[in-house]
Amino acid sequence: MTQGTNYLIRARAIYGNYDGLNIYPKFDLYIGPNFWVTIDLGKYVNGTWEEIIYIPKSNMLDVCLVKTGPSTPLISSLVLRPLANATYITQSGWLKTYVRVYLSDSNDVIR
Amino acid sequence: MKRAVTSSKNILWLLIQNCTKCRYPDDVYDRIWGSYFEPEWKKISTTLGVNSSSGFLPPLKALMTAASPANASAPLAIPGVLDFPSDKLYLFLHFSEIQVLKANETREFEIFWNKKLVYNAYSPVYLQTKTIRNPSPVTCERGECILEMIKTERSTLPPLLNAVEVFTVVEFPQPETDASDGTLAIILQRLKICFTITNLKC
Repeated sequence: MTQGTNYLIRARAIYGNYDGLNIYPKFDLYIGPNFWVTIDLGKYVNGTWEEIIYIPKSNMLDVCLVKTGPSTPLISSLVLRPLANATYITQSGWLKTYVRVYLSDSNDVIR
Repeated sequence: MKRAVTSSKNILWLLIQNCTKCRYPDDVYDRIWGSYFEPEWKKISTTLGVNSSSGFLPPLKALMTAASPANASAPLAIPGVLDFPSDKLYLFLHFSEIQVLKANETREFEIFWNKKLVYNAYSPVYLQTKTIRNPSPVTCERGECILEMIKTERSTLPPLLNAVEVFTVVEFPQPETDASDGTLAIILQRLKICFTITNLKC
């Protein structure tokens, strides 16, 4: 990563009973030592994603999967995309995506 | 009864099913845009390109359509219910006029957040994108929020909105680990291995 660059970080997790336990995992994601979000795959049986917009303080970044209960954390993909630097800036704290929609009666997802 | 905006995270499965290219042909930053529409809205669309001058660069496909209230005097309202009622929010509203206005037509509106005026007398420019955002984070009482665009008195057309992003704020109280932390431990470890192997000074 490049220190000081604004990144869109997206983690996806889908549980397909790979371990035969048939228990949807619940765990936390951290950015370095800081709590980012709880992933509860029991709520999203078809998988889910989380995004955060973050400016790393060095050229390295740790995204940590933290076990918080009996289930084992998992991650299906992790994406880092550099953004334009003047966009999505906050006074303090970091932006976690809640909803991103275009207003149309189409069912197409734009990416 | 309005359908409230909820988290768009359940669109992942839809995306995978529809994915033929599995990359991001439409959004330069690989953002994923779901669609949202209310029955009391009217869709406006254009086949023409829309210019983006800011760095947000919402995808063209997202800007080429917009919603407007079907009842021209009604507000364009988007209610939402938060998963965590105390969350602080940032909204990024992406606007572009995509209808050719006649000489005697005006589209001008005010933007309200939870019934409070947040942006005064805005007129989207034809085929030019503008992103309007709150400069400081906002909250919602009991997690119930409403975004409304209401036409001004002089406006002859109802408000429109092309796309919207909502983020919650996450605070990171702990400083990141310094990249040089642990370097001394690694050097000492290497020295130890070196001594063990050679039984000599390295």
